[in-house]
Amino acid sequence: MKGIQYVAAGLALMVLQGPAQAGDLLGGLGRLMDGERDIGDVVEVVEGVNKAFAEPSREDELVIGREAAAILLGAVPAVENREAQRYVNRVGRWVARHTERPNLPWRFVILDSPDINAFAAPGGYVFITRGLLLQMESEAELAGVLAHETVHVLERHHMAAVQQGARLDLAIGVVGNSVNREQREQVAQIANGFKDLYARGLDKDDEFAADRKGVVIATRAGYDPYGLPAVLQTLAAMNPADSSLAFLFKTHPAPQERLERLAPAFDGLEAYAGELTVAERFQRNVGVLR
Amino acid sequence: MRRTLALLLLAMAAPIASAADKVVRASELKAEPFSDAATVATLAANSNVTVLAREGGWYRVTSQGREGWVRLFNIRRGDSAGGSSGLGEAAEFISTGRSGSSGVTVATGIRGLDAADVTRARPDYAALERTAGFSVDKVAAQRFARRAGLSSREIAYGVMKGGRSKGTEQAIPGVDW
Repeated sequence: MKGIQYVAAGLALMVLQGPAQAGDLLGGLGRLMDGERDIGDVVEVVEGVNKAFAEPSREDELVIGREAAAILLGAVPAVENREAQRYVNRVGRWVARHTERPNLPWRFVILDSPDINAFAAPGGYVFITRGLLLQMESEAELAGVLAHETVHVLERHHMAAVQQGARLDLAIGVVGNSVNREQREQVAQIANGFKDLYARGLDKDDEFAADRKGVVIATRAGYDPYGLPAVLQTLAAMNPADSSLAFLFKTHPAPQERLERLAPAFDGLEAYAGELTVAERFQRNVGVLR
Repeated sequence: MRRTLALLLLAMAAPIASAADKVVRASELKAEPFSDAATVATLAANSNVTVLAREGGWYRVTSQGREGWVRLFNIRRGDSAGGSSGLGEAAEFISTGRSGSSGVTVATGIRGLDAADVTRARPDYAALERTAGFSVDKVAAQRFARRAGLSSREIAYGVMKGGRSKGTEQAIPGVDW
């Protein structure tokens, strides 16, 4: 296959299938050029891609995320303190402005549980428990945790995990706000996939990626980059047998492992080390929840 | 009298330490929280320290009678199973109705959250609707940020070298949703 045909094929694929799948196919074609594979292999790759699930749309994501968020609120209610909730939303929305999806309908909720945990749902829902909030000492720490959760939304970690784990097609085909009966059934199935996912947790690699990118996002918003690491150190300092940590530790890598993964990557953020922690405003707004 | 008062004050100045904070590798104890500050001492790997406070990427610690600053990532905070300040434990019990180390749970009506709660949950759309009233728009968020002197900076994800994630590293340019 001549070079120009290779490029043309690549462009055509990118238009039809999207960059990620184009990459897979270009890789296959590259190997064909190198003589490693024959044409039969490439045809198989093309068919495999066509069999793969289609990409869910933004509307699909929002409908699925809404369902997942409703499940979490069915498990534990939101804290009934409007001012505290608004505060967390202000911090979260400011942080979210510094992501690649600033225009999602980001919504942040404090869950009324003494347990220590945080969750995200597709489309921009982020949850943090009262228990976790009360372990923090500054707005930079809160921003660090919220930023970590936004990465799960940005990278669509939950969508990918449910699609792969439960072998469900998340491209429901929602148009506008309306969901027909058949789609409602699909959503119900997907919701069960989310329940199982929240119960067991995401892949470790997804958590490490969320830590790494989350720290960058929080620092972009002007906060001290050590907010999230400080929270991880606080968790590491707690008695691991404390029941308020049980579910978190079941579903996430240990704080020490997360810190060890973050440490070598932090050199690049040294320049921002003096940024703001905003402790006083945090204590004022969160103190009411004690 | 003064001695009693001094002891009382010392006891009240509860450090954020737990019994088992250590340095994970040989680390410099600095006079101030900067890498080019004077070195007070070099702490051997696995030395015990008492963490007092944090400033940016540094902890203020005491170690064998000396006080100084150590990088946050050089500290391994140990769990408090080995013993923490009595005040801390009592406060935890009062606020949560649980005692961390003994595992006793007092029924106070405060909900815990575990895997079973999630798998058993029925979606609560009404509760979800109510949370809409908490959200703020981008403009309000920016005003809020300005009030604390927070300002945006541009930082590429690539600054965090030293690790790989399995997902795509690049944002799709031009896609804003």
